[in-house]
Amino acid sequence: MSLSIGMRAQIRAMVFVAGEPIPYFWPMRSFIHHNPLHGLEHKTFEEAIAEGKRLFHGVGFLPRTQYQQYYRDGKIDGKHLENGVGQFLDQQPPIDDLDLHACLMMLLTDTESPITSNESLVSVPDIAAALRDEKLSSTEDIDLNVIAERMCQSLYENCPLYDTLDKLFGTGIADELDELVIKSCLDFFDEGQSVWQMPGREKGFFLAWREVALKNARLLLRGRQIHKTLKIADDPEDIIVYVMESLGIPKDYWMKCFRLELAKLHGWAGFIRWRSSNRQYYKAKKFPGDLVDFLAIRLTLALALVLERGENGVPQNAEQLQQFIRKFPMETYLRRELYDKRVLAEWAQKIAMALHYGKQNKIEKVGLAYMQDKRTRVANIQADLLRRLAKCTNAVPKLKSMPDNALKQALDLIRRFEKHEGMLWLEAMEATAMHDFVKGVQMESQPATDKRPFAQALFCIDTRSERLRRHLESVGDYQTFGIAGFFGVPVSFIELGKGTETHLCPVILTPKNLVMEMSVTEIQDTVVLSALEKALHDLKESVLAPFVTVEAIGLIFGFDMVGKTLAPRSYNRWRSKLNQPKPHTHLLIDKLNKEQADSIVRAVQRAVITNAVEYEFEIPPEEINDDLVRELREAALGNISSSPLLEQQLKHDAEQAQAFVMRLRNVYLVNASDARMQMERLGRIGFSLDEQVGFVSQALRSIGLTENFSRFVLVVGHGSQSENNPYESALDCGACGGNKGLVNARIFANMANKPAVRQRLKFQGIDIPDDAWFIPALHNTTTDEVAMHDLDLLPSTHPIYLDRLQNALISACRLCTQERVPSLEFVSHTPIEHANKRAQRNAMDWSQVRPEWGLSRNVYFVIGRRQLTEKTSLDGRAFLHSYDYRVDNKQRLLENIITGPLVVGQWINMEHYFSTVDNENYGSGSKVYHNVAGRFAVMTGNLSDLRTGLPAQTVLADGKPYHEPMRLITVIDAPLKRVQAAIDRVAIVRKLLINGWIRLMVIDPETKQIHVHNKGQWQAFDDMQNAEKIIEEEAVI
Amino acid sequence: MQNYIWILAALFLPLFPLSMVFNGIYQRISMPLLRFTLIIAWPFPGVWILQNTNTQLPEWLIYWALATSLLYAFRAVAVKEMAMWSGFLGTSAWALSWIIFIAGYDANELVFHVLSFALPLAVMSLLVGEIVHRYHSAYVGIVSGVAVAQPGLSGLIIMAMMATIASPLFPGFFSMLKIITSQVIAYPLVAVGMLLIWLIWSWSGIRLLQELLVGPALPVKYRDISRARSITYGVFMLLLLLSGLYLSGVLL
Repeated sequence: MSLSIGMRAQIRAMVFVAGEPIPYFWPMRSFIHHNPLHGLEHKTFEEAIAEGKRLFHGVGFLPRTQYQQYYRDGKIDGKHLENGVGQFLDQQPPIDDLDLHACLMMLLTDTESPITSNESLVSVPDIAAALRDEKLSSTEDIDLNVIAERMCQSLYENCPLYDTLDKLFGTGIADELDELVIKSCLDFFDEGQSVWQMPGREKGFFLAWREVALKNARLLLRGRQIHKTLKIADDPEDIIVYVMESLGIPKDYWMKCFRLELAKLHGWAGFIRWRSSNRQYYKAKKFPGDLVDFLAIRLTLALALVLERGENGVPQNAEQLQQFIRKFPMETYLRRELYDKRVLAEWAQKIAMALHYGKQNKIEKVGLAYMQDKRTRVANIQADLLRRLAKCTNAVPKLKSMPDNALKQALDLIRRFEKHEGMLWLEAMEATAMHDFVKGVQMESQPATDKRPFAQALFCIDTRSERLRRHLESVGDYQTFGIAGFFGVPVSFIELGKGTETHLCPVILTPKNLVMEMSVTEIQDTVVLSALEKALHDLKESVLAPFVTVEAIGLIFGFDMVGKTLAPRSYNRWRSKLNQPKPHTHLLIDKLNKEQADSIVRAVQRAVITNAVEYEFEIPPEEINDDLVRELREAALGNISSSPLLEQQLKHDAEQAQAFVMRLRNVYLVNASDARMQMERLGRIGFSLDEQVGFVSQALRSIGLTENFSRFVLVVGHGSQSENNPYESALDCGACGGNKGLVNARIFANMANKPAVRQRLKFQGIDIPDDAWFIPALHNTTTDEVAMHDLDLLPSTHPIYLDRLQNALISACRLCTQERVPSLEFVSHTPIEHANKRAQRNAMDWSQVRPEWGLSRNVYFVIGRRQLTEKTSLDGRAFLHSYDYRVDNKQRLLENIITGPLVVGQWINMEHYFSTVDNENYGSGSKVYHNVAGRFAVMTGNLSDLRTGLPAQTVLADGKPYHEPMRLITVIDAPLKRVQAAIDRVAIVRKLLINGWIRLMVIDPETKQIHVHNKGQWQAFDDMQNAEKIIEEEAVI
Repeated sequence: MQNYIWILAALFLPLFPLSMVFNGIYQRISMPLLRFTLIIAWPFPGVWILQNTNTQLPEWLIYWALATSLLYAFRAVAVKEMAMWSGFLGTSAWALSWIIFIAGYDANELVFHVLSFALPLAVMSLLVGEIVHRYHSAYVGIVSGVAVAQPGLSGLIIMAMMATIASPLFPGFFSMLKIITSQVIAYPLVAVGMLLIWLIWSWSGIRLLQELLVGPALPVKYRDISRARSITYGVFMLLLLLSGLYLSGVLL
């Protein structure tokens, strides 16, 4: 079988499009918060949730009981709920004799479970009969053929074919298929966890798997069909077409099927999708694999399993399945009830027995009795719920006497309402949160002061900075600002001793510049402990050694375990002394000019040539003179044709000399093209003066810090600290691509301290006085400690003031932990004065599943001046981005803020939202069961889909939401017209706003009016005491 | 007539096809207390008959008993209804009594073997009753997530299951160990067969537990077992455990 190029391209295109709703999954080394429904952001929030349910089986709202709890706790104001119900009813046809508003409020606030059911057997006359306590009509009147036909028609709509087989025959194909696919993925995508690697990975995912599959004993046992399929063709596209045709799926449904297949293991599919789109990813270059490969493997295995089950009489393709359904509608119905777990429990055994014996008359008899029973029960339950609802408005007699068509109308309305209910609760909760926020807002501008604060500090917009900022401001004369934690400097970083680049910026940006870390002290030899650690790791990872290792040196690990478990603080402090400290480093920030770069390349080439000559000809270094090296270099670069000195000095003939020159080119990579590549790479190192001025200027302007600079300007990046935590990077800085923010802080401070930069900034109107000094620092969000760095560069006039600054930071840290630590439930009894010790313990305790709450409970994103919120505590729930519209005449700064930080904030917010409302499907379940998979992700247990969201311990407390899931309430402190114009120009944000993925509130400092964007309209927002006075100002966007 | 009295015993220490009688009756009873009584009482007439017969039983009965035990062990793997499973497991375990008897062991050992399975199965039948009382059925898979919904009841079911499938320290474990170690030399194939049966019991039991205890809990919330009942069952299981330990000294 061989497809045409056009057909192959078509298959590739279909898979590409089918994969679009699958969210990217980044390796967890740099955890990226993302919206699990990012691929559906072109739809409205409510529509996307419905589609997410179909694809990922995820729920988009909290259960009604949880919202009711919020309602009782005052987190949802009844007034807003009533508004929502009123708005809903305004769009519905009225129903006589029923106080629908009261009924629906009762349903929302006082009824735990939904009233309407999806049971297709129960009709309105059934419910009417149940309401009147009458007997239901006979089940024999129900035409099962209609249900069967409906099932045949929707065979490919919501699940792959084998899922239908599982639901009708209990074949368990889906689970087994997932298991086989996961194992294949683990083998191929492993990044060093396995000691024995999968062979042939460089050929690509499908081809490598194919070779192994043909020799895999388990797959052989699972049926010979896999061989037959794999021998049909070599290419994944051919296999996909073959399988789809063999299963009898009409071509019109292929894309739907592909999408459903990919969504089945969306964690793996998301990782493969990200990996194949990220050309820079080293592992992807080395071991390529994409969604077409993934799908081909999945479909091959699916076909093999379907055919294997077919040997036991189960239909083997769509046509056979449809025939079965049409021929045996009652059996189909009972099968679906039993195997899809819809059956009434007490009937399960009876139905199983009837199906087991397979006699149609018995099946018919059991089926009719069962249907009658189920109809009666469901109708009675619905009738009871309706009666309860009607009772609150004394409408029970009216309900009983209601004609069928009116009852149907009422039931349809309730069904629509229950479908929409989640949005209603959510909107009411958000409205309450907006009112709470407005209560603390300080609208009046403070008079400008010339007094210079003792210190200023630039913090990340991260919600965890809000507490620290507030406390730092409270302990003295400190002014703080919020800016995205990469400080506007997107950079690729190579850490000392590492060979790979880390992107320190939001994932939506690709950095152009590279910064390297260089040691300023002599590199020390590896200490004994490091060597020992390496040896232990090698022993642990080999195949047989662990058996002996446990006996021989298990006790050493025992000491380690006891120390880490019983006294994590003291033990880890002691243990850290054994490790070699990281040497003092500087960053290569300035760009090299062409001569410097050329000189470096030459020096490297000379060193390589010297080593090569020394190694290959065993000549001592003193005999290798500069002329020989120069000549060899010229020859290797092709500038001269031969190397007479080599021939002369080493007494080689021309042929041998030429062979060595060739080796220099090919093995030692001393050649013109590699030299060019090295030049290009060196060209990426550092920032030009213009770039440095641009970055510093833009950052300072965007936060409104253009004058009145303090003696100290702290540039505070942040990072988390925890032990034994694969999610550690989820607690680091999202704006730095899930890494710690210190490097960006050091780069920014270094740039801002440079006299040449300051000189140019002065021309742009930003006059940084000579005594102002930018100090990089790291805020440890687990302990709230702030550690300053690069203090050796401090001018001699400054150390005298340093004590005061450090004391203030310590005080702020202590106040911050005292506020924060009690919210970590497990330490609620810790005396307040010991809170910081407890926080330090959390950072070092390897058994701690919740070292900190991270960004949980985030809800606001404030873009504006600090004065707006400085008098209120936002309880660590707000991203605070400083912005002064008065210095943003061109409105470019606002555009930049909403394009970058706001979008990242929305990703973080949505990650938390969905991980809370459905932790199993959109989150990653409990950390307790997690195992690291392939060194890039975690799985639940030993085999599962990659867990992509946040763990339960990050968003839930005792199984109940700790994070209060709401869409990000963005607050912008700027004139409305300016905000509208900025949003108009940023398509991503406009889309998010129109489709309801974020909420927007504008506080207009000129008119002192607050405006809320709601469903495409701006509403005026009066003070808290008044009911919402909705005025349609103008249609926006 | 005396020569064929053992056939009557095969009704109570069930051998196929007479085993169908016990299982038929057991499945038709729905009251937990009646099931409890039946499980305790049913095998003893068989034990009594065997103890009082002077007939030399044919050796092929050992293989017949083994085949019966194996058949019901396999049926226990396939079944999802817990009461039915208990019946099958009891049948499978009691069928092995014939091997003890024909091999000429002490009568007390026969009683011990029968009891070491009857007691945990009787407790299990009561616990299954607790499940049925709450969920109207004990069909695992349809009833699932019990560990989350009723952790106390789940703990007791696990204990009873461990005892039923003859896990270490429970009496059934020592009884099985004794029979197998004694059979290895005289009837090595029988010993292997018994090991296989033992393995299948564990397989079926764990599969049942997995489907019952884990998985999504049903939306309707039922109460967990009361404290008083938990303590009663717990004490009983503890006594079973202690008796197993005590008898291990006597048997081994």
